[in-house]
Amino acid sequence: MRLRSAMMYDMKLQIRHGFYYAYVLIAAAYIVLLRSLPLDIRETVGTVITFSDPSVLGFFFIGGLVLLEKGQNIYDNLFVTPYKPEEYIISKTLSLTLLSVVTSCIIHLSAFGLHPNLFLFLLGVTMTSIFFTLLGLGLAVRCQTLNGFFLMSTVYTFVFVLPLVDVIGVWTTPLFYFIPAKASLMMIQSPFNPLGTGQMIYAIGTLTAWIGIAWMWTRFSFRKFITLQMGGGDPQ
Amino acid sequence: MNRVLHLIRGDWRQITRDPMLMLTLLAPVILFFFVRFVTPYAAELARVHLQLDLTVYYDSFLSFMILLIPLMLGMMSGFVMLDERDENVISYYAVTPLTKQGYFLYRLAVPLLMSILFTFFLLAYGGLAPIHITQIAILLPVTALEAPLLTLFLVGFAANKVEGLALSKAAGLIVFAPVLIYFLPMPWQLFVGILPSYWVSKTLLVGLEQGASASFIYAFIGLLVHLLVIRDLLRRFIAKLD
Repeated sequence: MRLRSAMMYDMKLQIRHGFYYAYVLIAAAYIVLLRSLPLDIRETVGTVITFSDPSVLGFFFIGGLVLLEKGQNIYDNLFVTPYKPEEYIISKTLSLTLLSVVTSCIIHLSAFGLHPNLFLFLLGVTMTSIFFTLLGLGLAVRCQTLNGFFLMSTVYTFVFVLPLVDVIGVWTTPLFYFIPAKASLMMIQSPFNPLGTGQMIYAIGTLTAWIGIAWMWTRFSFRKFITLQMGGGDPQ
Repeated sequence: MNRVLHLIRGDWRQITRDPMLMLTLLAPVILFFFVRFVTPYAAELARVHLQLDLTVYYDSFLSFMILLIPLMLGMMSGFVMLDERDENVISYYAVTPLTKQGYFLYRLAVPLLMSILFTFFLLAYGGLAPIHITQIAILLPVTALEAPLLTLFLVGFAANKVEGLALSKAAGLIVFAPVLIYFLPMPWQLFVGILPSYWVSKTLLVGLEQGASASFIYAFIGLLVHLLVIRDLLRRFIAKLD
């Protein structure tokens, strides 16, 4: 119950801060762009766009959300209530994931029409978004400024997005199979390259494992940089 | 002058204490190296493996890359201002000899000057298209003004850094201006002219095709559009602060 009202509140906040309006514009631009491309290129570009923008938007926005709340010292008051940090993390992550899924779904349907594999595609977006939002949250609690967050984020995400070079056909290595983005991209690409059962198990299993790792790391980071610093003023 | 030096010294101290800020300044440098070295390499790969000649797209690619420098620098300065406004630091600057106006001028002048510098390097040494120095001189003012315009757009419309992020996402769409130039025929594409970035890309593309003198009129109109928009945004921002 508490989690549900927290999520509703987070979504309201995101609408008020213009996330949804921004993504209406961005989705429209992507749809126009994709529809103007020939079909064979459109599928590759569509995969790259879905992975690199709507799927990871949570990573981008969570930085601002955490920094703002940290600056306003909201946590000091928030976590003396029964509201748990875990609920905070889940609520933030799932509410942003919803925006990812809705945006990706609209872009995909408008550019490619209805596919039988839509479920796997949306599951891929969901799991990717959860992973990257958790990663962004764990990173944001360590940062003081937006520019600092973006700079650190290039360092932290660089490895995780490497398999993109495989999709555009530049270079590949079996090592990519350890990276969650490989699994994400396989699932996001599945409407065009259907996956076998083994691949499906691999993709879902890999993302689940990485989400588990990200969850533990984020919870640890949150405890270390927020909970244990509370009431102590400046963390530095 | 002395007061501005104080702010520069403060920023410099911040930069040396916090190596991340220093690295932030590296973003345009990385972009330059990407254009200078990675692009020809990718074109060569495409030529050998896919029998595709990507060099014919260099002009449009450049008209897109030229927008990225003021976009990045303008937004970085905008994010700094949003951080400082959220933490109420701006009111501290306001009571120092720097004054509030001095603070704004500084936060707008830095992305402007840095855009001039980096855009010059990109055009002169980027190596994608031979550009005459006159053409660069025509392009620089209108391109660089894009940076403070974006800074003001962010801080003028965003109530806090979270709204700033949403706006920066939307503002990133300005890089679509060159795409629209390709898809819309001439009288219609002038409607895109309400996007200031249209004039930057248009000036570059016309200059590359028909020479510097033909592009002058676009640069001139672009300059006017930028100054008008900047004036409006500045008024809006100042009204919001008081």
